[in-house]
Formats: sequence, C-alpha cells, structure tokens
Amino acid sequence: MTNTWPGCWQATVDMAGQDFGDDSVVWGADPVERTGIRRLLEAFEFDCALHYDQAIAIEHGYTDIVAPASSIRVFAIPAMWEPGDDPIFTDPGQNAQPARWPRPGWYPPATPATSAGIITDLEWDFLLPVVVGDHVGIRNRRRLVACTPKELRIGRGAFVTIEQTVVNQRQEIVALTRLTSFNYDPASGQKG
Amino acid sequence: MPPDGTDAQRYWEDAQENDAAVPVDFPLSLYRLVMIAGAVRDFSSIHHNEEIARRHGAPNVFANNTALLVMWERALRDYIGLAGAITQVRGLRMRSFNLVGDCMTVRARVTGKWLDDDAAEKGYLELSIQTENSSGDITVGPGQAIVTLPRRPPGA
Repeated sequence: MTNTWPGCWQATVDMAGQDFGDDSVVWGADPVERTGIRRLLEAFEFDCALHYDQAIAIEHGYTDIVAPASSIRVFAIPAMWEPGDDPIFTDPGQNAQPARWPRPGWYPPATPATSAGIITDLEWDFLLPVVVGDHVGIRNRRRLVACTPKELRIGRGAFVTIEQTVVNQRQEIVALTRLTSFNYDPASGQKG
Repeated sequence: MPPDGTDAQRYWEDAQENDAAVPVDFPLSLYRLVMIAGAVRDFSSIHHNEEIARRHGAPNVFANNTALLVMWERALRDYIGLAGAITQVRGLRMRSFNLVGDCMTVRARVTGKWLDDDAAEKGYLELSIQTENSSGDITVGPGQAIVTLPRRPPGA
C-alpha cells in the first residue's frame, strides 16, 4: 500500500468479496409515518393512493399506508442530531458543513478518506412492503463487492460497491441494496 | 394515469413486449431540489449549493440518487397500478448529472413477461427504464425493473 493514488486504495481492493461490520442494526430515526411519506410524494408529485389512503392500501392487502419502495432507505437514516448530542452546527459560514453526518461506517475500515463522494449506481430487491408504523434500519454487516480506482474528469478516487440489508422491527429483511459510490478528491483547482 | 383506485387496473395479460409506459417529466428547479433534499434526507450541499457543487466537479447542483430512484418508481407505478408491485431495480446508473434548470423525463418499456406457473395469481414483467435530459441524452440507466401485475380473473 502507498499513500498515493491509486496505491492507497489497494487494501480496499483486496477486501472485495468480504463482509465487514457487525450484526448490529443502525435504525432509522423514527418509525415510518405519514408525514414523511407525504413530503416525499409532494416533492415528486407522486400520486399513488397506496401511499396516502389507508382504506385503499388495506383493500389491496396491506396493513396500512405503504411507504414507496424508493423511500425505504430514507426511513432507515438515523437522526442527524439527538438530545444530548454535541452540536453539529458550530460554524455560521454560508457554506459551513455540519460537524457530523448520519452515515456511520458505510465502508471498510481501510477505505481511504476522500473529500467528496457521489452515489453513482443503485440496485434494489424489494422483498417485503414497509408500512406506516414499521421501523426500518440497516444491518451494520455489509459486503464489499468491488473497489475500482478510477480517474474521472471530476477527480481521482475509486468506485466502491457495497451490499446492505434493510430490516424491519421484526428483523425481517425488507430489502437488499447494492450501492456504488465514487469516492474522490476533486480535480486540481476544484478543491474547496 | 396515476393510480388512485378509480382507474382500471392493468392485468398481466394486458401487457405486451414493447409496451411503453407514459413518460413522466420532472422539471428540476432549485426550489424542487431543496424540497427533495428534505424529503429524502440527503442534505449534501452538492445537491442545493451551486458553489459547493462546482468545487466538487459538477457543472451545477444536481438530483441525488434517491431522487432518481423515486422518479423511476413513480413512472413504474403509473404503469402497474395499485395491484402491481415493484420487486427489483437494476442498473440505476447516474451516467451524467441531472442538473438544476433542466427537465428530466423517465421512459420505460416492457421487455419481457413470464409466469412462475400457469396457476399463479400474478405474473412478472421486465421493463427497461431510463432517464433523459431535455436534450434527449440518457442521464440515468438504462436499467431494468422487475414488476408484478395481477392475473386477469376468469370472466373479467
């Protein structure tokens, strides 16, 4: 391993195919609720009665209003700040970033730190519906599928693909996702 | 038409290869991207702050990955109706930035259909799905979605 690109990624490249993390679950901030679903429907003008009309959802075999499949990961996101936490907004600068992000440990421990990242690819298997009142979370045990160093116009880094499992409060697997991100340092002249 | 319980449900028997779903447009104003950020809990500044987006190599702020998935789901749901279900999405690849100030269009087309067995109450479809910008360039996908539709009841 070297400290320079792409050698700095070799330890992560070598972990491809391995599981990492533990068996704990990182739970979403709250159980699925109508307000969260409604805010998503609003932004996308997504008019499907399963997502706002309880009677129609029940008529179609669900136990309550159904969360859009694409929102499952949204409801699995932990809170950015909770009572008792240290402040996250400590800098009044217009472009200041919060002190922490609610995305603990997505990547294997050896993964180099980068200053930027974009999720580029998604795959999903939706196995069970998620309805109002369900509480979903992401299992901390994940699989590194691949790590491929790459230089793009926007910068140098690596595509990192991991598999995650989303479970509900009964520990049932509701969805599987394979997510690829390009983790990079912006090209010279673009660093902020 | 959006499924609201009053539209006729599409049955598996109705769907044919090469059937096209109704395209869905998503004009991306900054106002909308801010609403999306809140709705999907992705507050990364590259999605709503032009200065930071440019520092990170993007031409401007752009839609996040969850937004792209929701766009696909809405187009698929419009096609499969209330009794359909989305079971799998593959190939949602962000090929280029889905930029503020542009209008994205999601298009989907049936590429296959099958049954697990003849007596099953539902059948499967595969659709090819993609997002295009206003220039007609594919910005997301093309990917594939597997959905289910109910079988037509006898006599219906």
